[in-house]
Amino acid sequence: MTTPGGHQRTAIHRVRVALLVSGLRWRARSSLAMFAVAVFATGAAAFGPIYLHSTDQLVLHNTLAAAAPGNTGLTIRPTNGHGSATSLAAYARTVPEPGGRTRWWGTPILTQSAGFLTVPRVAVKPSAASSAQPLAPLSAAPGPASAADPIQTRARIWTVKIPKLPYRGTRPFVGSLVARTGVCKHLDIVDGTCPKGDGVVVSTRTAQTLGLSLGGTLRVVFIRTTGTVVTLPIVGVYIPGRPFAPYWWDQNFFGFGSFALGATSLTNIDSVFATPAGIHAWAPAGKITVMAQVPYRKGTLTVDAVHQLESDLFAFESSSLRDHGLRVSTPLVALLGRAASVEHAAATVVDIAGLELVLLGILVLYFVASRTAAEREPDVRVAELRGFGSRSTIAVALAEPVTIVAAAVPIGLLGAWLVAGASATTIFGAGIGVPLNPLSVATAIAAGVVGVAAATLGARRSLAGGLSAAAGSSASANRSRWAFLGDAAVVGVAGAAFFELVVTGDSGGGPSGGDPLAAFAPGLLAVALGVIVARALPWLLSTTHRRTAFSRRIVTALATRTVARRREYSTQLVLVALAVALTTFAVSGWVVAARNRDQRAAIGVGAVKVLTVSVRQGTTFLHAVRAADPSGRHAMAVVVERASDGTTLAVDARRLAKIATWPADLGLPAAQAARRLQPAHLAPPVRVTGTAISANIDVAGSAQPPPRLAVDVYDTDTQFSSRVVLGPLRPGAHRYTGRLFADCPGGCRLLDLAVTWSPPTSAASTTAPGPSMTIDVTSLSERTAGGRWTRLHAGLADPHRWRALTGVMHLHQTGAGLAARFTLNRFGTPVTIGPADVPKALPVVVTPLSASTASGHGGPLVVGLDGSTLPGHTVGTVPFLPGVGAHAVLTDLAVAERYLFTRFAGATTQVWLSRTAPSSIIAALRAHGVRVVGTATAAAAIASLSHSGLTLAYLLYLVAAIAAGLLVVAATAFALSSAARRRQWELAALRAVGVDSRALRRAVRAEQGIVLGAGILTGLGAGITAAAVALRSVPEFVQRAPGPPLQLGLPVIDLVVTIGAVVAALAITVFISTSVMVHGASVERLAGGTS
Amino acid sequence: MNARTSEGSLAGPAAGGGTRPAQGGHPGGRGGVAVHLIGVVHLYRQSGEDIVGLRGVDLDVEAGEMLALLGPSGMGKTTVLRLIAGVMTASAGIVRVGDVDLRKLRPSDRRRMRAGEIGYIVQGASANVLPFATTLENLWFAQHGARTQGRVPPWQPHDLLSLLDLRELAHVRIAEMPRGVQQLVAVVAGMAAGPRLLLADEPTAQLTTTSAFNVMYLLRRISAELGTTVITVTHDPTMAALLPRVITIRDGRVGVDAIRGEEYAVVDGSGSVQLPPDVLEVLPPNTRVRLRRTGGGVELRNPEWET
Repeated sequence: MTTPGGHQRTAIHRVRVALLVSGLRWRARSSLAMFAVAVFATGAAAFGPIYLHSTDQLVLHNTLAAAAPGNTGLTIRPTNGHGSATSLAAYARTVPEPGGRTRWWGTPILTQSAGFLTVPRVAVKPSAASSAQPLAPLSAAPGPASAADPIQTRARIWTVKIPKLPYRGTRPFVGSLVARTGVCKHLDIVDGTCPKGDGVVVSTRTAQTLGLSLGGTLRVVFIRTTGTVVTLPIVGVYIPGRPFAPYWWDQNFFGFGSFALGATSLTNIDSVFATPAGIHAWAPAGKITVMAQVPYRKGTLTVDAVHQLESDLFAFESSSLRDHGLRVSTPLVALLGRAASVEHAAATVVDIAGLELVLLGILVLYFVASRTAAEREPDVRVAELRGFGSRSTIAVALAEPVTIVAAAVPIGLLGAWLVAGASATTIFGAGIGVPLNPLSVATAIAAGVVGVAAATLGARRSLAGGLSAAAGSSASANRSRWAFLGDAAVVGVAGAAFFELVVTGDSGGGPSGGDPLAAFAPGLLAVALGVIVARALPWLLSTTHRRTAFSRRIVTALATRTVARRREYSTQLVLVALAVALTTFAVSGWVVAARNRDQRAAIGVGAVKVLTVSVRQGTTFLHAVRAADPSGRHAMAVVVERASDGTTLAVDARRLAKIATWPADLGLPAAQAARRLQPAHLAPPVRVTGTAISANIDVAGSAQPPPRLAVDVYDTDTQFSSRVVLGPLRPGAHRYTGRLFADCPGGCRLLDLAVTWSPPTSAASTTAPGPSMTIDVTSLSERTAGGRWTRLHAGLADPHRWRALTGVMHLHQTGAGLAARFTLNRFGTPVTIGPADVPKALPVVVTPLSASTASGHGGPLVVGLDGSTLPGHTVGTVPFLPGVGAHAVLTDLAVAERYLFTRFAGATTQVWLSRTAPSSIIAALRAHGVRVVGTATAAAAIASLSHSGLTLAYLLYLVAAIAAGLLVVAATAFALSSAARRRQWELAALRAVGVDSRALRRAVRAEQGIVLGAGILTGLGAGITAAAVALRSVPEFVQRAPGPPLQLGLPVIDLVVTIGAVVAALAITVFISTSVMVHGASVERLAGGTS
Repeated sequence: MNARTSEGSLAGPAAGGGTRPAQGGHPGGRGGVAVHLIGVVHLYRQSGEDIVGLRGVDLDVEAGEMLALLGPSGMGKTTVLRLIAGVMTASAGIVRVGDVDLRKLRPSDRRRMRAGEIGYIVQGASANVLPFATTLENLWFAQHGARTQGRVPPWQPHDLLSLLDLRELAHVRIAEMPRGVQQLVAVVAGMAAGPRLLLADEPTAQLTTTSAFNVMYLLRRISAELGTTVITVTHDPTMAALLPRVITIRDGRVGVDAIRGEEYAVVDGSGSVQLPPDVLEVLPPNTRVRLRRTGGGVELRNPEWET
């Protein structure tokens, strides 16, 4: 007798451990199977949060990376716009940081600027015969500028306060003198140097337009000053090469040609850059606005620190305003909110995928545990035999499963982490870590606890049996009743949830957007159908019993009876159904998503590759691209004009069908759209390439004061229109001559002949019509660079080549030329006639969102390439346009260019490349004056979409479904292996009574075929139904924005391949297992053992 | 019918529930305990009907006695053993082990008895031991129930093995043993907690003759050296004949009580006597007999033969 003590307890503990280890080793196969399943379940549980954390980080990273610096950084400015630049710069360095080595914010960029006005230097040159000035678009400036004395004009501009400036004659340009931290690194200086002390740099086009040159001066008047002229020495000339580079924070420092804000009669020039000292030397201190921009350092913010950043920023904003009079603004918080929204949707899907996988793992764990429990049952009986108490008996029953699951928790956690780490680069790309977060540890432990519960549930029969269990039928009947109620409850809950999801939830594909819970649909449906089929199957099979009872069909008889009798097959059937349903749904969803992603990405970009280009001054973009690709198969010139009320996509329509991404289901074939965009009967333009222009005109009639004749021309290279005043009209035949403002070596297009009249003040107050006149234009000539006059091919005698543009007029051809009879407008509205080389309305292909008939020409009002509003004529409708989306119109670039009166204002010039475009096309474009400043590819867009949060979430769903399939195959193999030992006696007995082994093998395979076949068919039905019903509700498939119609057709081939693989794997498993099982069932086994 | 010979009670001094100390054996031996079954009836349900398993069994077993319950399969032998082991409860009657009426105990109390007072060996060696464990581990496991109840087993596992000369089996895994040896270990495991009553159900079934004799020899040693009351169930008359007392169970009743080779019919509580087969040849069922008292008892005569 030993006194209980430490030694005794140690010995007892040692024996317990020894028994536990011996038991685990004794049942090594089932222990390992259970361990593997437990590792799978806990690993799946841990993997979800790890994956989700990385997905969130990726979403955050992508969101911040894709955003312009202006959308991620902070802008700090004094509330009144003015203040000390030095103190502002110092304050900008105090923005909150997370601490440690991580720094969210980069070096602040300080910007000081002062607005000014200036006029072209050439405009001050007196010209006796003509003058030229930029024109406002017709829509923006209905009245032409009068020709005032340019010297006088200059004097008035510089002496009168700007807000009251009456613009008569030469119009001023608006610009900004800017000093910006580090600007010299971002300017492409082509002449001179970046200013280091005194002096400024101007852009090439500013220099050309204003007649400036290196070493010269720019004379300006700062806005809202007394009008003092300030002379800025020009020390450098730059090319505004990359106006959209991150350094500029999406601010338009290079708005040359656009209209000044709030003053459509003022035209912007590019910013003029100086040093901070320079700007303070020239501009009045009170007129210098200061601003500090603090850039966000990309990749430094983690999802775990978002909350800290938001609260820190809020506090910083408040204290800045309260204590320092500084306004801090940033769109970053809104951006983080959008990222959080995506993260939320992704999190739901990841949670569902993880949950379904974990639940399946737990179900398989229960499945395995209930079979391994049978192996441990003798131990439990021995414990009962030896009078163990209830707790000790339960301990005997559960020690091994609990140990296995407990050991599986850290292994599963570690495995999940390693798998996530190994696949991180592939899935998330470089730089996205996969930290082991507390949530993943917690979920792994929770899965372990649930796994223990499942193992306990699986072992309940061995515990409930007991030594005294009589073969009474009442207990069995009670169990059946409870099982039926349990099944009914499962079917009810799953069915109700599915119904709720499909009918009353968002799964109807409502406008509210997708429902991530749709991912639950296949699981719910599979469980409900699986349980029903599992219940119905024995009954169905029992109907065959009578027919097979005394027949020779021993295989069928054995198989149907065994399946009908064995309750354990129900769980197996549900498992298979669940796995197949998940796999079917996931594969369908993934393939459909990939298909739509690819199409969306390709059509979103517009072509296989889209180059954003800058066009050299003096280059006609359309001609340059055509020259770079004479074949017409590789490159297409595109101009995108975006405005608040719509976007115009102007393409080289001849090449549209060969180069643009144009899905077949858009409703209008690309070739047909291209044909409709190019009017068949347009007069050729009248091109002017000389240095002066003249018109021979015979005038009948007169007016006082005499009306003036002018010619408007558009320089296609510089994209500026000019008015050449030919002088007052005099009765009789005369020759009128005017010098072109700038030579038109690349070609100017004659826009119109205009007769302007400044009626006397008394004319406006009378109701009498203005005087009538007739002009007979007999010829138009130009003076070549050599000084020789040549006649223009203007087609004056062709009745189809000219038409009245404005004014009341009658046009007719005479033998000598073109005659126009008109009445002068008493309000001074000009009368114009022009070549009929421009359609009355721009032919456009519209989208439903842009379709209207507001233009009066059977189409919408569209935005011209110079920002003006043009009448459109609808020639076709498509739901979505490549590259620009659903709120846009498509037109032909060559046609749209004829509406230009000024340059592409705010338009983006692009070259779209086809898949077959050679790499040399870039060099060819450069050689023709087209320089690439940015590239977008469909492949990159697809890759980007493939790394979006939702896509990654559904990737996990797909992987989870495949893992579920593999798990079920493994579970089937284990079930067969486990059953082999128990059934060998039964099979041996059958052999003893004369059933041959071949028939036995076939019978066992047939019984597995029945169970697995029923499970596969049920799962397939559930998966396909769920996909058909719920797929459109998956957030990834919800048509949030108008676009090409989603293709939700099920991928039959992919499904056949996937399910075929599952069937093949199961068939091989069954084939091998049953062979082993029947082989071991020898009659000799009956002779020497107990059952 | 009572398992009491016409010559007097077999219960002896322990009939009231007394115990018998070990007869000069191992000091750890706790002796035996008497067992009494009085009018025990057992019903069980099968296919919705009540089946009578035992029809009023009376049995008195002295403390330290060793006996066999003999009979063909399905006659109720194992049921009697299970009732005594407390794994089943009688539908009617009294099952008393020592002073304890098992029917009045809760299941947990009956289980406590199996942890200490009663050693029960079910049919088949593998059902009594853990196949993956060694003999010592199995004995430790068999003592665990007693330990959890605060009882101290009377011997350490290796002491018990030494006592029964089975030391060489101490570290051998059960699965590696021949079936006969496994059965020996099963018997020793039944004795691990030091019970005063050892019940063995078909301990020699499916064993070779040698193994079977070894098992019977071990049971006899336990009974003789430790004073433990031993009741075995067997359908093998040869094995039964090795024990001093054999009770034949037939049709749920005690048929014959053979003590040291001499068979006795037993009059049960209702006055019935189950006639042995050779007598039934003379007096077939439904024969009217005439009872006549004699000096030593009662004669049964067939009146037809008298005429």
